[in-house]
Amino acid sequence: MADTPITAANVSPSSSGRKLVVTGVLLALAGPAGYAALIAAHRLPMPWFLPISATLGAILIAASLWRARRVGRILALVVVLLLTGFEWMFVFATRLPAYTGPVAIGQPFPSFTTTRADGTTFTDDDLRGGQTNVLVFFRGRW
Amino acid sequence: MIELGQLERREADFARRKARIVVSSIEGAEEAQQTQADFPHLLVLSDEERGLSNAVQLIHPHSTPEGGDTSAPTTIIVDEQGTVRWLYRSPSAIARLSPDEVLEALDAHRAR
Repeated sequence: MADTPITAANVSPSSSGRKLVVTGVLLALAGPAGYAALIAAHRLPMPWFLPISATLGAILIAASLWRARRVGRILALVVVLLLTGFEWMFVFATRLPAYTGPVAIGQPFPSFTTTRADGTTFTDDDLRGGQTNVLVFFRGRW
Repeated sequence: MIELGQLERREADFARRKARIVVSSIEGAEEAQQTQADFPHLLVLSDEERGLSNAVQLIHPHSTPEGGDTSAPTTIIVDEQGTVRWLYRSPSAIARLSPDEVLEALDAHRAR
């Protein structure tokens, strides 16, 4: 009996759809894994790739459902959609408004008085002298 | 404190450019002293009274998980005369500049 050549016409929809599901789930997981790796490497960029990769993953899983409806695929799509929604919310909820304060490039730094960690006073006069100052406003433990 | 740890590790690169790193938050004196002990090469400010944060309008109200205020993550370069040379406001509460990006901005300012 002659072997049947493998062509696009005789690949079953469910087997090709399986690849879409696996790729979709891997894409959805790649975002959090990549972000964890960046944090471990002490890099803190804006993680737009998180929801984008999850969205692409959800699209692939939805495409697999188009080819063949399976309970597992539906469950995978629900889970990935939840993850996608959470990640979009996470990214948008942490956005900051643009700066509209009085600090302007080329202008003197505004007058202020504050305190060093040792309790002594620190003012705008302390910014003038023999060195450039890099002022970093930080929050929390991040 | 990833951001401060990175800056602490690269402090020599800033010192070579005659730049001092001053870090500020609205945490209290006790926390600031601990931060100073953790990062001895940075100058830590305890801006609990918000004299600095209010002057530059960098308070991000109701932004902690508990609903309290914090400083909006921002980096400003001020030259020897006290003139502002660069300002970077993070687009997100979770995004930070790397030391290389700050050093790049410093070098760009010095090249002018």
